[in-house]
Amino acid sequence: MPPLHPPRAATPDVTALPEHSPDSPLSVHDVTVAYRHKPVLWDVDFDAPPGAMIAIVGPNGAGKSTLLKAALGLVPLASGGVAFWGKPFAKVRRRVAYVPQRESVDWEFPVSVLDVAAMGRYGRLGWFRRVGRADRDAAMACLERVGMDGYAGRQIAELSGGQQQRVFIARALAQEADLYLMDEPLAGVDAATERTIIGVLGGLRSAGKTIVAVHHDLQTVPEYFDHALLINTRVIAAGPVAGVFTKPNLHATYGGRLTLMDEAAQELARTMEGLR
Amino acid sequence: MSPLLTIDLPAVLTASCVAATCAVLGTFLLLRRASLLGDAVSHSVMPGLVAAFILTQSRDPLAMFVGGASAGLAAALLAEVIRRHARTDAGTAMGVVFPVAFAVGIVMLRYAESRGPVDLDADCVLFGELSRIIWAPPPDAPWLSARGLAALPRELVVAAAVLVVSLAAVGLMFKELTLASFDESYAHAAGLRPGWVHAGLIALTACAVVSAFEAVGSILVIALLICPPAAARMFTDRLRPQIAIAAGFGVASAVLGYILAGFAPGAILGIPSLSPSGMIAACSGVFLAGAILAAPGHGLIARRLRRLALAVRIAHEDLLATLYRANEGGPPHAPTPVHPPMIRRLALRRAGNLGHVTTGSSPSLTSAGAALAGEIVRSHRLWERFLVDRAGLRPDQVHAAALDLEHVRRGAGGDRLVPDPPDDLMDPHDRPIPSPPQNR
Amino acid sequence: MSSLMDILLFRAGHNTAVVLVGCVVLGVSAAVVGAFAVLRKRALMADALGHATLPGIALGFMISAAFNGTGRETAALLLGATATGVVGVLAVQGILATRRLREDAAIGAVLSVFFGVGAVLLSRIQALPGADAGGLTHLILGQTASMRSGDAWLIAGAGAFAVAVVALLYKELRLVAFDQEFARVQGWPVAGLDLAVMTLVTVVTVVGLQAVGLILVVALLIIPPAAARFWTDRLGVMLVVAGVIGGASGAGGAAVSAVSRNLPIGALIVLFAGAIFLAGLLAAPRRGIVASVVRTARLRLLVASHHRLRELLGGPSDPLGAHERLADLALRRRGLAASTPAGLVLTEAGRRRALELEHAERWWIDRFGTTPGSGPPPSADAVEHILSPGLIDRLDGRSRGGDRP
Repeated sequence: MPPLHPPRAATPDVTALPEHSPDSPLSVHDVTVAYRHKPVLWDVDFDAPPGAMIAIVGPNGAGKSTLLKAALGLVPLASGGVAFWGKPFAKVRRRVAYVPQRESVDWEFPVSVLDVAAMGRYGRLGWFRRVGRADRDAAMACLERVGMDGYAGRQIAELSGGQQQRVFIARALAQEADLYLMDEPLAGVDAATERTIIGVLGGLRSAGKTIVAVHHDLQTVPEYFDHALLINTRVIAAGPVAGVFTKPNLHATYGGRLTLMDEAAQELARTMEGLR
Repeated sequence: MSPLLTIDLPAVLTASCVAATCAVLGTFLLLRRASLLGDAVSHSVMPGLVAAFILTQSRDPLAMFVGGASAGLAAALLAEVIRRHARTDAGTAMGVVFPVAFAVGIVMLRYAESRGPVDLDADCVLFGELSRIIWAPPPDAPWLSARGLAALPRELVVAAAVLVVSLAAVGLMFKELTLASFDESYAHAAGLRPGWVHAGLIALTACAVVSAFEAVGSILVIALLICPPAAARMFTDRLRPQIAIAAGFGVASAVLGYILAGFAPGAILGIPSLSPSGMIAACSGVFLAGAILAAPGHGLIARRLRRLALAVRIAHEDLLATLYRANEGGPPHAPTPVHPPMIRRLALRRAGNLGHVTTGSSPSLTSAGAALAGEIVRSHRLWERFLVDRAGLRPDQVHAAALDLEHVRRGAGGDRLVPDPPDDLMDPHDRPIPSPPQNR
Repeated sequence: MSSLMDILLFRAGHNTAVVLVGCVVLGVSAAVVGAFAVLRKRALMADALGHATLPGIALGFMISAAFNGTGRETAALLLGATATGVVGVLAVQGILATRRLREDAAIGAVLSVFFGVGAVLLSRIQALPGADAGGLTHLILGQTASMRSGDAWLIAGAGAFAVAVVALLYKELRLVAFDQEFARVQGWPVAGLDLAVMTLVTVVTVVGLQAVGLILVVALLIIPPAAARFWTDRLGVMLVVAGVIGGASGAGGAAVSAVSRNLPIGALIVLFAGAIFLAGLLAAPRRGIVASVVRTARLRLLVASHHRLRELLGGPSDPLGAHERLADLALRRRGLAASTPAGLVLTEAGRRRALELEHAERWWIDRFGTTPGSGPPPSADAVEHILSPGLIDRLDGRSRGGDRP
């Protein structure tokens, strides 16, 4: 049984609430988001522990991507609030890197791979300043980290899906942020890209960065991530993967929607036994 | 006073400035897939213009800009509200907004006419009036003196000013415009306010449309907003060259259109001159059609030719392999590849030109041809081996598949299919696999 | 001058009555045909088609002028319009074949370039000796009330034909509009049905030119169906609503134009349709902006009062933001909470409801986890209902006794 919210003493400042730590890179407080008639997120409350790799897991339409977008102010909140290290997003923009879903952009757009990676420097540059040599060098170094330095001059339409995703990761790296919000970074990529990306993310975590990623593949969650947030419109459970990935929790997240999910959950429970 | 300097030069310069501005702004509209926004803005600028005209009773440029730009922005905003709330696609939303705005403009124009003669008629709004643009300095003042320049037509000055402002804005905000057009949500997260960037682009577009409407009219300006950028898109995959090419096409359309409408009819056909604005739009369309057909790389002709070249290469390789198998003897191997007669002829000619077959009524392989044919048959039989051994197909299933795959001899194809093949490896039909070429 | 009522009741003379009938039939048929174009996301193709008729009109004029001198043969003009209109649609398809330029650019390029060619031809006509080109302007911007009765009959006939075809092919067109892949698999000639819709669009556009002009004719095809979408989700109902909106706009435009002879019919029809659309955009019961604002506000208040009830369970506390302040007000008005010197505290009824809420929440999570086949996330109404049985009712004061278990 997941815990209910404890009664709390309200203060005017969302970010100073006792259940949210100002050390947490991302505090989501009682967030509700509704598209037309449907609430997509209902009363979601969550703190990302610093220096962790956190998977947001849930079925289709559970509001996983919406949670990231709501945190970044891309969709309006019906209620609640979001803080990054106890501050509003506008104050700490540069420390937060966002990797949108690959499908969200037009890959025929006339820019080169290096141009896209250099976009990670735009926030740092601010208005009107141009991209300089130092920025291009930094972007190039980030392409190297994801193994795309050989493609720097290519037009982005020539890339495969996995390569596109690597370029997006490189763009986020170029931002030199402390928190990385990633929307399905491993969806539809080849095995080599998956290994590269996981390697890069592991490196970020070793450097003390925090990663919050929407993830669709239940099987790989325990292997890749150390924390998980199970949501299905509401938070079902949050915490270290070993504690969260229990059969009842997964069942609650995915409901009786698919018997396939039951099997997946059982298999996972066995996997977890093996890991313990 | 020379009519060329008085009448033609200012008209061509005005049209060129307008065309360049539209090409630069239109490139970003095109990339945002918002070309029809230019359409919507140009239709909806009309009520703003008429309102400004009714209020000031003059064609005061400032009032026209304020009226036109705010009407254009309001229409774009309304289209966005409709798209969100009415659950329609962007096209339908704009299809609702701009006819209504245009209808409002017409009714207002008729209202203004009913209250007295007006210096603004529907024809001018639709087709523009380049012939009104005249540079007539006082008789005693030289053209390039202060008084001569002061007599420059207002339309030209305004069009040049809008061009300078647009170029400056795009130059200053190049990275913001690019990011906002490419990845709006990332731009938002990076704090670059894509919504405001977009609104700025629309406001500039509306200003360009206002500055253009006297020169080319409110509908033909759409041609300048869309055709040159679309034509440039066929030529390049880089943004800066695309903008430059688009501006080039725009200016070329303006100059060529003016010449074709103004001089050519009299000189060639002996008829009075034609509508220059219509001719400019038509020229931009001809450039676009030419680009679509003939652009290297992305043009329809280039794509056709590439496909043809590939078909000929495949037919050529099939021919060599067929001859090789015939030399081997043994039972015929069905199916054999089939190509259209024209492709077969071209393939035969290619093989002859490259010295792979002897020319004559019944071609046979030369030594160079036999070497290449050996490679192709080797690839074919290695693929057959692979399909049987690794993919688990039956030997009688693999020949047809291998006929396609044999043409893939690089990368995954060829020698990596079967690691370290022994020299006496046979294919699944017990034919020998030719040994690899020696001189590599 | 006749009054509006006289005109609408056909008491203002034969010609006015004929124009009225023509405009109503045009409005209805364009709306019905346009509905399928809108559903197939082909709406703006009609715009390209409309603008592309201009060079054909000019050519028709020049050809018929070469034969009989005046060049005002309606048949020649409309045949020419149809020819270049179809060429325009084919040009859009040709540009799309590059796969590098999208539909928006293709449509915009075709409509403006064809219009430009038309402008060139018109300028040639105006310079022709003896040709009276005045009759062509109305095809661009639309006529005033002086529409000839022959034109009106043509519009009425073509419009009735279009509606009849849609009625005949209703089932097939609906299938294609809804799911063309399925239709194709089922063996329906999807391309043929699309062609039928485009043919009807062409027919309506070309005869509509006579009344509303080639710039505005697209509005008759798009606005009524788009407006009808606000009021219904069912295609059959939508067709009827769109037809009514189109017909009413046609009648309104014709009548006002007959009263004030200076105003063009086309612009007036479009303005009527636009006004009806705007009314739907603002006030439609589920999709209107007002309904959407009210829904969001209700949701916020619900979430806030839910929070406040839980918070106050732990002791008196101050509201956090504007919504929670509003929620406090609602709770006090319903007698669920009361002001004390220490701050807001729950009344006995409020306490009971807060506990009930916690219980309901646990129950909801349990249920969510164990009900097989629970489907997609529940709607707002369902969540409200499940989360807090009767809470909304009680907040509304509908069962104020609070005597439920």
